Amino acid sequence: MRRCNTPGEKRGLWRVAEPGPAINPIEQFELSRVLPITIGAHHYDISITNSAIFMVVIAALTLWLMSMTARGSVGVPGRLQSLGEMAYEFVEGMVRSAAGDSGMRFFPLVFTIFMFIVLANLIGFFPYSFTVTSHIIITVALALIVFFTVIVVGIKEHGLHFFKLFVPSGVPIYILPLVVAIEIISFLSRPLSHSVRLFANMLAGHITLNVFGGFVVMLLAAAATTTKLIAILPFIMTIGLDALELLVAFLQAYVFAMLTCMYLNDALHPGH
Amino acid sequence: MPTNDDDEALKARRDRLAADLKGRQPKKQPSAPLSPGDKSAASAWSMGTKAGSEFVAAVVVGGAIGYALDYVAHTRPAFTIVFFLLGVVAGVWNVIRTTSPKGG
Repeated sequence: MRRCNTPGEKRGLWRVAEPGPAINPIEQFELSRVLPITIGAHHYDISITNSAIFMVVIAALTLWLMSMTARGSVGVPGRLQSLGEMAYEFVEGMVRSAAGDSGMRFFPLVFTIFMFIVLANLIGFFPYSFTVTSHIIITVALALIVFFTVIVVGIKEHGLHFFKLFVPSGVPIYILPLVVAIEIISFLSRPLSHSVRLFANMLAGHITLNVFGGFVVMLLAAAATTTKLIAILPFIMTIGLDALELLVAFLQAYVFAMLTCMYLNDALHPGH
Repeated sequence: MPTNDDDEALKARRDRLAADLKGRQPKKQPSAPLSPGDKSAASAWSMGTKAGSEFVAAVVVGGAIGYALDYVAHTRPAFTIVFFLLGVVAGVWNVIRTTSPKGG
């Protein structure tokens, strides 16, 4: 996450007129082409961006962590191995409690999603890094994967019986159309809430951190010593917010994976 | 007029129903099997973001469906109004489902 921006850039949203570094809290989310690539006659842009690089880093980290875990030749697990085992058992408990034992065949999906989000959120804490999950396209893609998995698996497993998901039992026939409409809206709203929640939490958290971090930079850039001293206040606030963000980073990954399990549970047991 | 017998019967029935209800209520788990971050603040935060986003999402999706139907049928604003309201209902229903204890 970038704390400050080099002065003299053309973006003017939060430009500070005074001398000193200009703070732009949105700038940290900007995509940049690291390796510009276009294909086809219409020059479709498939450039390698900073976002793509961080996604590769996340995947590589996950792979590395899990392969360190899976080596398993040591009787007493080391730090990395226990970390990997903890992650595995955490997700396993989540899948079993929310989707039952039959939900365990979706363990790879849930584990991948969880590791991806939790690492993306945590990597975002490093200065100058990029938070992949603060882009809605990423969270929407994840949410739609879950959404369509639920539909495809549900129809494959249960056929038309899957649509009983929208028809709760024990509802009088005369309000059934209304209830079905509400259930369908409720079902369709899932990918939206699923993706927006994660995206909004990460975006808002990083902007808040950046704004408070920016206060520190701006105050320190001031000439008077008393003004410099005031910089302690936003600095303390930044530390507190960092702790909160750490909680949110983990929690939102947990919530996302948890809801994935619950939605998959609907695909496996649409009866209720 | 209720007689004494009716009162007795009603009381017995009430007791039976209360006992039945008690049996049906989900037992409180002594500790959640997962979520190491499950301090009350953490779960309250996750519950809050869940409930809030699910309400808003349902309203937005309801409104969007209505708007799309209007766009296709040239009936603006009829479907938008109806589906917006349905979206609000679905949102409240989402929140109730999210916040009520499991199995309820």
